Amino acid sequence: MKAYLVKRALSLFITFLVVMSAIFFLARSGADPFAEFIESDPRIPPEAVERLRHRFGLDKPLWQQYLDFMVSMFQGEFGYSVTFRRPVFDVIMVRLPWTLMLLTTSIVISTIGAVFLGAYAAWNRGKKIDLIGTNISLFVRALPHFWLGMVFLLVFGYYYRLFPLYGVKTSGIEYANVFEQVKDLLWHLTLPLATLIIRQIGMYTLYMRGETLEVLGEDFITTAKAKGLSDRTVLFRHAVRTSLLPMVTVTALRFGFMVNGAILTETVFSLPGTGRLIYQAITSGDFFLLQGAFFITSITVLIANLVADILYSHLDPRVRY
Amino acid sequence: MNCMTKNRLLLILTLLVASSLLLTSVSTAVAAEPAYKPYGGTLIAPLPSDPSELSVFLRASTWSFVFLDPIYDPLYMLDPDNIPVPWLAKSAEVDSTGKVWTIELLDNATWHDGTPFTAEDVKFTFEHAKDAGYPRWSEVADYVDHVEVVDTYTCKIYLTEVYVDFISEILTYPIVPKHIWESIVTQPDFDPFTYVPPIEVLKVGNGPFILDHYTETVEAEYVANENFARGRPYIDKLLMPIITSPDAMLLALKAGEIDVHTWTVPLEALPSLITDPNIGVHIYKSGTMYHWGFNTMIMPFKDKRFRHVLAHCVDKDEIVSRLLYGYGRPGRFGVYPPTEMWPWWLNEDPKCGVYGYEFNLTLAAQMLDDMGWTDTDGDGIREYIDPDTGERVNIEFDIGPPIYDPVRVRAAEMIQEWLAEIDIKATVQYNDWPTTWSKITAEWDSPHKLDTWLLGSGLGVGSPDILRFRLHSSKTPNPNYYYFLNATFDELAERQAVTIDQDERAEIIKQMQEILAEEVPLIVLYHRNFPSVYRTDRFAGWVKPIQDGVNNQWSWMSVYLKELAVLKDINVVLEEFPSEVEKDATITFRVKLTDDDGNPLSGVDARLLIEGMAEPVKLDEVSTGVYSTSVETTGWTTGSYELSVQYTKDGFNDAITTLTFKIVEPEAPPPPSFWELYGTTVTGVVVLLAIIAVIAVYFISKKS
Repeated sequence: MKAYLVKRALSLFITFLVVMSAIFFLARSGADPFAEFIESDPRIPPEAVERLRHRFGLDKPLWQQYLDFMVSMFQGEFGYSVTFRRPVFDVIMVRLPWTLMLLTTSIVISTIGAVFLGAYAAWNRGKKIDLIGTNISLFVRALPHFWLGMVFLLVFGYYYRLFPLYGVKTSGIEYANVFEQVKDLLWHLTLPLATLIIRQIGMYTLYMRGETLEVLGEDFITTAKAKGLSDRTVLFRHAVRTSLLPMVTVTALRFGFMVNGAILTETVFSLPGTGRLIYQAITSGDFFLLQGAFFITSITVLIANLVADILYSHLDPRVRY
Repeated sequence: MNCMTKNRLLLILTLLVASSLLLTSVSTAVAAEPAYKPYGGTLIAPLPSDPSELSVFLRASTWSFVFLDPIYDPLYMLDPDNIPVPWLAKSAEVDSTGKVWTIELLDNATWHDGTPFTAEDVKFTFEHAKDAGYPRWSEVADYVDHVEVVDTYTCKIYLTEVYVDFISEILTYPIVPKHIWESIVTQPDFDPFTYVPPIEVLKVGNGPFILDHYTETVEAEYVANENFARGRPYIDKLLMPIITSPDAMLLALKAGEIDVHTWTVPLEALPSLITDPNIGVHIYKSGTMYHWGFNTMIMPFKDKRFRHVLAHCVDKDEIVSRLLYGYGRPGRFGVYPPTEMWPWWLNEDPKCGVYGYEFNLTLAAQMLDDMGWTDTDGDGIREYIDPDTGERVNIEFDIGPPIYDPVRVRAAEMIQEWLAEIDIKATVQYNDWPTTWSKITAEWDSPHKLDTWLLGSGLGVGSPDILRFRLHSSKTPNPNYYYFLNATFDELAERQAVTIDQDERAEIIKQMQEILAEEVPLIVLYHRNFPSVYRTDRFAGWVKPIQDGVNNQWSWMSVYLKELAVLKDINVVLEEFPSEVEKDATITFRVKLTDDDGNPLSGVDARLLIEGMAEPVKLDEVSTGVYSTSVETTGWTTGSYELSVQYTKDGFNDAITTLTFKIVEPEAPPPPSFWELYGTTVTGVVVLLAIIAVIAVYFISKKS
């Protein structure tokens, strides 16, 4: 196991280096954070822009910029966002907790929901409940995030005034205690969470159903039934546990993409988050910020993969390292 | 400079300053219209994004300006009409050389921590900006030589050369507190380009609001500065929550959760907004020019005649009507934007080629034929004649719009279609914006340089000096992407920048526009108009600049809570309005507005919107308290239309009138009677027969 972990960590490290190198060169292929400086204010002399380029090391040869980037990255320095005029680390860290909170909650709830609904639909294959469930899942899966979010916002936020229309905090409010703050936060996160959870349940219920159906046709399920075990035991102790394996991979990947996975939800509900940040970094050509954001994304994806691998060895007796 | 000229210069500058003072008093008089304005309330004006820069020296994004403007104020402010007015300065006077300005400061202005605002702060701010070389303060670095403190409230600013826009361009930079910033900028590790001021530093400004707190990604909150030298704002607090979704912002406005929409309002939402009695709509006119630029160094654009042909190939009215739904103005060939502000710089009618650059594809084709640029090889594309080799080359080129803007993409496609009609092949390049931008700013002979492009460039309607900054030959390749190289234009551009006599300067600027209209290095397609929407039920006193939305610094100073104010009702008496109008006729709407005591109300801002109309029409006050407007119904289809008029006046509740009218086919005239149709013929025949009969009787009687 130890040998495997070391080998795996080394492979992930190499993957990480390749990814970061690719990001470095891709980001510089067309973008220039100072490109529109003069257009936005024609009074700025070109020399002033050159001074800025020099200050941020953009006048150095590309290979030197690459070396600087790699060295500073391993020193834990992500550079300075020229869009936000703040250290990249600070910009990301203000937003990352919101994204983690939103997506961890939505992934956990939607995974639990999808596992139960998918297994139940598979067990009732061909029955009315399966038909209805499958069609609803297909319908929800086809709904774009932002559309569902906008409908929720319009109906529950505007027409019924049940939930706030924007943000994570009631404007101008001063909380008397933590309880009030948490209550206000939950009130603000209800609609975005509902949007993410409903859509993800739609997506992964079908996946879980398919996996369970496959397992239900296996011999060991027939054996379990022949032993006279209850339906519930057969389904949840035998079928679902086996079907969960591929779900672990899928969930790990979803965790991996969580950093940039909620751009549209963040936009519709005006939530702070790293998804919008990456979008802003790309559109403004701020490759220092882009590198920092992708550093976090890559690390998350790689760690999630590693965790999935380790989980596999625990969940599947056939897998031993 | 002889004595007479010096005196004249002094006189003109004194007049300028005096007129500024006069304008301040006028603005104040307008703002002080209501009898009683209460203090209190929290105005909620969201930010669509966090401010990118927190330092006044680095601020570049719009939202950084919006965030910092309430905190830091300059010596002179641009008023809602873009005229510089004294703000934290009392006056600014120039000496006879035109290079030494004496600035007298208000003696009652203080920083938010109570420290007096003095000439030392002015000296520190300008000299630090110059030394640090901040790009956004480049004019200070270029023109300010040094600042001398004369006494606590007086300083002299020495310029490196005469600068006619000194007040509007340099004195409008914000001032920072020396006692806070001096210790910061003298730190050994201080980096001017990366310094982020902490909140404690931002809490010490000199503006009408004091920053209470700023939570990144959540909100910024300010409290009114009770000791502000120009009078405290009427509101107690200004709250700026971050709302990144324009749709959520619109819903929040309609729900009354915010007081003003600070993002682009979807045009299709406008009819429902204007009919809401609690929402006001202000249409403002942006000076940004959306234009079609050419690389004038390459053929066929190198040939001025061809650029004249292209000027006939663009239907700007069609672009404004089809793509902007009427929310815009066609661009002018003199480049300077059409505006009600600063009209004295505008050349109303520059000579536009031989035929006036009207949209006329037949004429354009004829002009190409006359040049010999015809299609000789039968491939459906005309050829130009290369002046160097004499070869015939197909007229083919690309147009690069930014793909993030569907209006410009569609405009490029429309131009492509128009050109195809006269056998010119233009190809729209759909590249991502960074690529398009790098292709626009490339050197003229780079293989990557676009032949033509559609770009939106800020012109403002401020100083006409912007023409020099954009189009002087020294500005190639950025922002003179067109490689417009014209020695006469350069000479005029340089001369106007140091011409203090405003009439003389205006003449020069008009000549520059003549050259631009003749040379056509670019074709300004349109300038956009934008609606700015705000709630009228909680606050009154919104300031509506021609070129800006109501979310501006002047509004923050002027708005006041309506519920605490003593408000009267506007009474509307309809004087003229037909319920039915014949198709293509003109409909006239006239009302009399009075207060509760029956006194006629002057100065009401009344706007009329008819269903389907792009833009509200302003009602003119034709006599005291009587307002009227006429609307042409040419091209309208028959049917019922709803008309809404909103009346707004400080100190009064908004009133709204909704009426319905019909457009009907003109009544067909009754069919003509037999006599009307044939009366003349019958009479003629009868008379003729009578004459024949008389003659016949005469001859018969003679024979017999």
